[in-house]
Amino acid sequence: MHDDPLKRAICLGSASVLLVLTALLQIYRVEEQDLHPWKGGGFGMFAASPEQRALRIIPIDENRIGYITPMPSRYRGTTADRLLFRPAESRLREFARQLLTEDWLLIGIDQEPGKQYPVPRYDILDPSSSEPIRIVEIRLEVHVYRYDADSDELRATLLTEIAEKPEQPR
Amino acid sequence: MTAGAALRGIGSRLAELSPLDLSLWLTLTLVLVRPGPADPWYLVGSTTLIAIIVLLVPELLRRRETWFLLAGLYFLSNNVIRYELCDNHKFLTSYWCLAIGLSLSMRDRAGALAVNGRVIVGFVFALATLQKLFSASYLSGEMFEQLLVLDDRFFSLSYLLGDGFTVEHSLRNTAQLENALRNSLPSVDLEGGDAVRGAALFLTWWTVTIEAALAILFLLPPRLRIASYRDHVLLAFVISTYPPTNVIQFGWLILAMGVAATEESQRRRRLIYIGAFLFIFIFSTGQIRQMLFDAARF
Repeated sequence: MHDDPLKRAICLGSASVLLVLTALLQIYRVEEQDLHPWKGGGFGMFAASPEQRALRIIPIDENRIGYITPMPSRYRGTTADRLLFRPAESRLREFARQLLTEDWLLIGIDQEPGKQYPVPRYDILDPSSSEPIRIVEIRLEVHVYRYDADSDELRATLLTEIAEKPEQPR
Repeated sequence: MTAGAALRGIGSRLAELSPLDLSLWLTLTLVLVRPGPADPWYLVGSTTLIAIIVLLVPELLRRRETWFLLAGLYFLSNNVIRYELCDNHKFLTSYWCLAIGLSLSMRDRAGALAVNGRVIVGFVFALATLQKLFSASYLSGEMFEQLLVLDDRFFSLSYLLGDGFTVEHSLRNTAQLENALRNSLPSVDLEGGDAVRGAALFLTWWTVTIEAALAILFLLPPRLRIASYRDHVLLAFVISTYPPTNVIQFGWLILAMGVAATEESQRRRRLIYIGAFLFIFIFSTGQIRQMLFDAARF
């Protein structure tokens, strides 16, 4: 007794078809949606350079001054990784809108050696600390560091960016 | 009885298992031990519970429902919820559990699992080969060069294969990367690229050649004589690739699929598969890696 042809085709082909379709979707998303080439089930690990990505958060105050600030601790981990590995515009905008609802505080000014200007550092306000700064815009930039074998350099290039302002009351 | 004799006894008892049963047990071991990066709590909890129940009631190992349930859990967690966070082998786990469940639904279960094992391994390596052949950064050797100068999993290889690549190079490069990411620098200089260039080119062509060979051998009809070499090439690939890259879960999965495709009579070959399964597990503990590191350093 043998299984009928349809059952045989389903039992012997389903997993492979799923594998190939997912891989084709991954290849499309890497090309069109900046999905990280090592992610998403396309078996592209060790095929493209292992990109190091960085998300830059730039809160801009009412004097139109903006500075790069580290990822607030509450968003580190899965939230940050999702934005880095698949930085779709809709996701970045949603995250920026979330950041705009936070109270931001100037937590210090770094005078880095070799730099001409001091670098203010912002973080999300702790409820017990002082008055927040008014943030009028949040810019998000995703940069990718790629290795250049000719110059032995790791160079950052801008992958995608968005800017989001608070919604005006109607 | 000595420890060696005891191990040999366990090994030969495992090799007596049919390809189907051995493949199922190896896959269940993977579900239970889950080597590699941590999965989310809900996946760990549910799949570990299922694996423990199967250990207590071994008849469930051959029930398709067990594997459909595992496939569903892995698929939902890795392929849907955590899509962009998961590496390839996380996707592969769900396909393989699905393939097992479907194979157990057929009259010829062992034959069906052998076909699924061969085809999945064949497609995995065909896709990996094609991605490499269409990648400029891979073909130029740049991909492996970056790994050798910057990725701590590869530093042991860099010291062994590189021409003058030192611990100081690796430490400075790691610090430079951290510096670039922390301070949003537009570029940083790395060191040691020249020292590992030859090794990078060797790894580039070795990897794409052996992966292409695996794709061809596993997708060829098994009646062809040349296809019988697939196990040799797979074992050579697993032993040469997974210890340095430390992607143990992928290695285990590929071995479980390869075992399913062995002939019933190939007991010795299955014993070698079990040896490879243990080898990459022992390597992943870091002891051998550290020994290599120390040997290369001094």
